[in-house]
Amino acid sequence: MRALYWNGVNDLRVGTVKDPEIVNPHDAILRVTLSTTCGSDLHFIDGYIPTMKPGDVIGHEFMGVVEEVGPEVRKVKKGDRVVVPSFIVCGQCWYCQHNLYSLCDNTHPKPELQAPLLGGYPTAGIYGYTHAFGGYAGAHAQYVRVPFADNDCFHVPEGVADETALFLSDAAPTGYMGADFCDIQPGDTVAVWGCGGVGLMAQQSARLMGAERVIAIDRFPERLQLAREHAGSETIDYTQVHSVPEALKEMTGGRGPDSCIDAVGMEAHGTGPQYAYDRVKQALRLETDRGQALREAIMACRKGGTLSVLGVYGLIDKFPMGVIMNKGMTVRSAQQHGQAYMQRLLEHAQKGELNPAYLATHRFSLEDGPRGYDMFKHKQDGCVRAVFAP
Amino acid sequence: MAGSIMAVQRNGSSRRGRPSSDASAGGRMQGLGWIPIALGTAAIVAGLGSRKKGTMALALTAFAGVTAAAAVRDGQLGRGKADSKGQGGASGGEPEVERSITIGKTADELRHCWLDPRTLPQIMAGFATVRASGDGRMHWKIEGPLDRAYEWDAETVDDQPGEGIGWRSLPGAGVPNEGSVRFRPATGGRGTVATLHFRFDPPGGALGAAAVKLLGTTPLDLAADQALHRFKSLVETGEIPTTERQPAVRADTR
Repeated sequence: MRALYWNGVNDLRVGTVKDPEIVNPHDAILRVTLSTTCGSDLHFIDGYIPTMKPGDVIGHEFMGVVEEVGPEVRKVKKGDRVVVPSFIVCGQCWYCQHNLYSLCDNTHPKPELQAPLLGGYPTAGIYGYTHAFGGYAGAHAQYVRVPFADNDCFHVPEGVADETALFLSDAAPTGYMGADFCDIQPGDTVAVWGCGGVGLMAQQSARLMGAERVIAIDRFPERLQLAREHAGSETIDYTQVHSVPEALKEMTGGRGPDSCIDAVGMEAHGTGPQYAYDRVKQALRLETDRGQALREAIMACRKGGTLSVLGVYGLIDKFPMGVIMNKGMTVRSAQQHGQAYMQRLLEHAQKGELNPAYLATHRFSLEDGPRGYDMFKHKQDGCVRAVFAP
Repeated sequence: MAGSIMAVQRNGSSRRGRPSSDASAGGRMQGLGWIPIALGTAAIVAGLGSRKKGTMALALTAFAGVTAAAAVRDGQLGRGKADSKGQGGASGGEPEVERSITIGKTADELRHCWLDPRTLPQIMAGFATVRASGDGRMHWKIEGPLDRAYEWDAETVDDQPGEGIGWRSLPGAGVPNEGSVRFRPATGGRGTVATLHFRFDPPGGALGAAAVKLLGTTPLDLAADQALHRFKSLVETGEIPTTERQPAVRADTR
C-alpha cells in the first residue's frame, strides 16, 4: 500500500509498504477513508520531539471502514464505518476504567523509550507519533492496524459525514476535553489561545457547555474569522494589541477570564523580547519550547481561575509558577481522552451542534502528502487542516 | 541472563577507551542525543562494535545480554550518552534486581496466569527464550551477540498460593541464578502488586571477580520492567502490545 512517512527532519515522503496485518486477537484493519494533519505533528516533523526513525508512517487522526477483524473482536465487523481516537486504549486497566484513556497502561510496546521523556510512567500508545509514544504505524496510508478495535472503533451514524467524523478522532475530543477541564459555569468567560483545529473545537465546545463569552486569540485573519463565524467568539489579534493579558482584563471588567485554554503548544509564535529569548534558546536547544501563549494564559486568567493546557510541550523556561500559586489557580491538562467523549461528540454531530467539517480547508491525495503538510505548516492559502484521501 | 557492561558506560567510556558512537544496525533513531537514555545501552552496543579477541572480551560481549542485542536488532536506540549516571544499577556485587508493578487482578489470577506454560515465553521474550520443560521446570536461553548463547534449566523451588513463586537454576548452569515473583495486595482496592526478583551469581572460572565487578544491573532493570509490563498486559487484556510486523518504509521491518 501507499503511505506517507517521515524520512528525516522536515522530510516527508510517500512510499510503498506492506499492508498492515492482524497481529493481536483484538486488532482490526481499517481501510482509511480520510486522515488529516494535526498541529502536534509539526513537533516531530520539525525535530523537536525525538525518537522518529526514517521510514515511520505518520498520521494519527483518521476515519475509515473496517476491512478485517481479529478473532476476539465482537463489536465491529467488516464494512462498518468508524472513527478512531488517536490514542490506543485497552479498556481494562485502572486508567481506562477511570476515563483517563490517554494514560492507558497496556498499549505501549516499548515503555523504556518513553521513560527518559516522562520519568518512567508510560502513557498509552498513539498512531504515527514517534517511538517514545509507542511506535505504531500511522494512518496517512491506505490501511491501518487498529488494536483493541472494540474499544477504539466508534460507529459513525448515518447522517454524519466522513469529514465531520474525521475530526472526532482528535481535534474535537481534544478541544472538548479542554473545555470540560474548565468546569464552565453559566456566565463564564473562557479565553482560548489558538484558532487552529483544536482551538476552534475548544471554543465551540466551551459555548456548548454554557460559556457566556468566548474570546479567541490568534494572528491569522482567516482563522480569527472562523472563530467568529463558527464559535461566535470575540477575537483578539495579538499582533494588534500591546498586551493580550491587558486586553483581556479590560474586556472582562478588570477581572480576567474565568478559564484560559492553551491550544497552541510548544511552537508558539509571539512578539517582543520574551519571544526572542525563547527563539534563541530553542535554536540552541537550551530550551525546547516557546511558551508565549502559555505564559500569557497564566498571567491573564482571573484569580482562582482555571488554566487548561492542550498544547504539547517538552521543557519550558521561565514558567510563572509563582503566578499560579499566588492567584490560586487550577491547572488541568492531558492528552485527549477521546474514548470518554466520543459518544457525546457523535450526538452533538448528529444534532448539528458541533460540526467540525469546516476545518477541512484543503484536500490532497495521499501522494501529495508532503505538499499538504508544507501548506499546513506555513498556513498558506488560509489552510487550517490538510485532509488526505488515500 | 546477563547483566551488562553498564559499569563501562558509568565510567564514561567504552571498554576500549573510545567514546560511544551510533548504533547503526537497523537504522538510527533521530535526536535522542539530548535526552539521557535510562539505559545507555547504545554505549554497550558501541563497546561491542568491534571484533576484539580474547576471552574477556568475548565473555563480556556474551554477557551483554539479549537486551542490548535486541536493541541492536530492533535498531531502536541511536546516540546515547556514554556517561549516563548509572541509573538503577547496583554499585558492585552480584547483579540483582527487584521491580514491582500493580495489576488489577487478584493474586490467585496472577499466579494462575504466571504458571500457564504460555506466559513465561511471552513475557520474557524481550531478553530470553523460556519454555516449560515439565514438572515445574523451565529451560532458559539467552543469546548474546557474536552468536554466543547461554542456556540453563531452572526448577520451581517455592510455590505458595497467594504469595508467589520462586525458581532456581539447576546445578551446572553456566550462570547460576534465582528468581521469584511475589504477590501482595495493592492499597486502595487496586488489585495486586507483583514483585519480580532476579539474582545472578558470579560464575567461577576465568570470568570470576572481574566479571562480577563489571556486571551492572541496568539492563536487568529493563528486563524485569519489560517482563512485568508484559505480564500486566497479558493478565489485564489477554494480549501484549506490539508493533511487530507493522508497515514501515525500511528494510528491517520486523
